[in-house]
Amino acid sequence: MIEVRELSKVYGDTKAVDNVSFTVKTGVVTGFLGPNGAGKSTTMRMILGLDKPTHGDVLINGQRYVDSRTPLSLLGSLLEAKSVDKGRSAYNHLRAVGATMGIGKTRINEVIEMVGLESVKKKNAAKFSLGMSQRLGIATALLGDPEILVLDEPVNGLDPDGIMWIRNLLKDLARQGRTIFLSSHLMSEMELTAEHLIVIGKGKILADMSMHEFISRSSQNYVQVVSPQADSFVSVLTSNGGIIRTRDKNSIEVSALSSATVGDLALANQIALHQLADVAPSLESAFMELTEDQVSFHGHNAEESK
Amino acid sequence: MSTVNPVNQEKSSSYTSRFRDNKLTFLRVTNSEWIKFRSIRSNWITLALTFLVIVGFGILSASINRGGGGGGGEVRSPFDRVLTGVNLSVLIIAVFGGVFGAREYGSGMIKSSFSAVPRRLPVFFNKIILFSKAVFPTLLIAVFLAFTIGTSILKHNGTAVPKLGDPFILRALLGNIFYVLGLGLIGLSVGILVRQTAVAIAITVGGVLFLPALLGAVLPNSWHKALEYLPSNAGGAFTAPNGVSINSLSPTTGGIVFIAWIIGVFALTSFSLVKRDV
Ligand SMILES: Nc1ncnc2c1ncn2[C@@H]1O[C@H](COP(=O)(O)OP(=O)(O)OP(=O)(O)O)[C@@H](O)[C@H]1O
Ligand SMILES: [Mg+2]
Repeated sequence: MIEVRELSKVYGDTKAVDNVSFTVKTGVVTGFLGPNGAGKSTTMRMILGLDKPTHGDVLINGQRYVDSRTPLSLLGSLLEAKSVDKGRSAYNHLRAVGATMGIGKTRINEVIEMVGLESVKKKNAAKFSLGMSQRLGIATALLGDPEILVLDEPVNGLDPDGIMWIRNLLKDLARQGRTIFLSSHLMSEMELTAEHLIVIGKGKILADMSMHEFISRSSQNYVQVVSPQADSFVSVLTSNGGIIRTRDKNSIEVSALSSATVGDLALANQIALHQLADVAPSLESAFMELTEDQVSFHGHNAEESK
Repeated sequence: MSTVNPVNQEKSSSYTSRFRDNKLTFLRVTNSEWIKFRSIRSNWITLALTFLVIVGFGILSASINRGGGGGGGEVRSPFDRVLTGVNLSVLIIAVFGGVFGAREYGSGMIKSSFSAVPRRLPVFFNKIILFSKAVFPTLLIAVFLAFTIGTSILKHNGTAVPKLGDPFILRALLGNIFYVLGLGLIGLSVGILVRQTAVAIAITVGGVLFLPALLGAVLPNSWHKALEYLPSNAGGAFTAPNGVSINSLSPTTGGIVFIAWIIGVFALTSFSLVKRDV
């Protein structure tokens, strides 16, 4: 369990993290979402004690990380794939890190095999591709068989096979009763991996709830209707407060009404329905809706920038 | 945290690491630093280079002035001649220290190191120990070889040479070794303090080795007494072979001043290491 308590971090005049409190629970994968510069990496560095909080503190299973006598087995972390000396082989990197807690060759070879780097383990880490560096970072995180994992964008640079591997790995690890906290910008991936979400924007917590609740709270929910009498049904729906999102011949997408109400309205007005379904938005659209005004860096498409 | 315990006990399914009994210890960090050190090839190349420079220049310098004919106008003592390479090794080791200290900041490795050893200071202290363990024997063997071979060449050519048993000679040899190692350690510490190899080298080589000579040339005489307390000048007090210091500090005082500088830099680095963000 990670308890973040009233945590703030100020760099010069940037308030990167602003009085943030939350708990990362044991046994589930918790996703950490937020736009660029929201403060995710800063929060994670403070969890590890690498950055000193301006205010507040973090408890890892009840103690501060710096006070741990068994840091690698308490908490494994991946912050940046580039936290490796480039003059050293992957094998020797893991040996050096593991040696601090007397973790020997057997375990080193085990994690190398887990991340699939057997064939290049003696190769200089300078020659590694982004994905290979990322795998080495994940191997380093897993080295101490940690009870807690903190991973900053672990799928960054992984190929589709690697992404699927890490998704299943994290779910398995959580099922064993470990605490897993990961950030990612890949919403579709996060949707498949995380059970719980913590969303941060401009240094403040915007949401802390289950994935299911987060998505179902979104106003992007709508009801999908197919009816041969679409024209008349549209006017029935709008006069009862429904908002027509799109209409394509017989197919209607209506929001602001529940599927039950839509069904009842059809019956009351003797309208035939060929299809009636609740459609939940993707995590991506729910996230975009929540963070619309929290985005610090907006891109512009080609038309706009002319 | 007794109020939290009931909640924790409820979660009886929470995972226990199989390495839970493997404690982080100082000696394990020593081992970790040794694995780091030995797996970087350039560390060994630097040590070999230092050795070759000290022994090679010692032999060369003893051989070239055969019969007292060649070379420049100034007369150098036999002791200085056989230790010619030490002057160059000061530069090599000071730079080595800076590179060694700043290296992990350049690569980002420092994040891995301090995640594994969150108290940080054991990493610094072990780097000091390891650097000393690697550099000291190299210097010791090289300096004594240079002295032995160099003086026997000079003797063979009829020059009167100092012997190891002569007064002050052993102390001066050890003093030279200590001085080179000390500057390397200052470089290492500054490297960790400033986190950038180039800046660390500039401060150690420029600021510690060359600046005092430069200041001595430009500042009025009234300042010279103060300048004697700078590390390189303090070092001059215990590296001379005749028991006579090149300045007004006694060899013992010079040694104490030099050690005080090293400890001062270590203290500054330790403080910064614990306080700053990585
Ligand atoms: N070491 C630092 N010094 C100064 N400012 C920093 C530092 N680290 C982060 N910041 C600032 O703090 C804010 C939060 O940055 P952070 O890296 O935590 O964001 P993030 O959520 O991880 O973003 P991204 O999704 O782009 O990785 C940004 O404004 C950033 O510029
Ligand atoms: Mg980040």
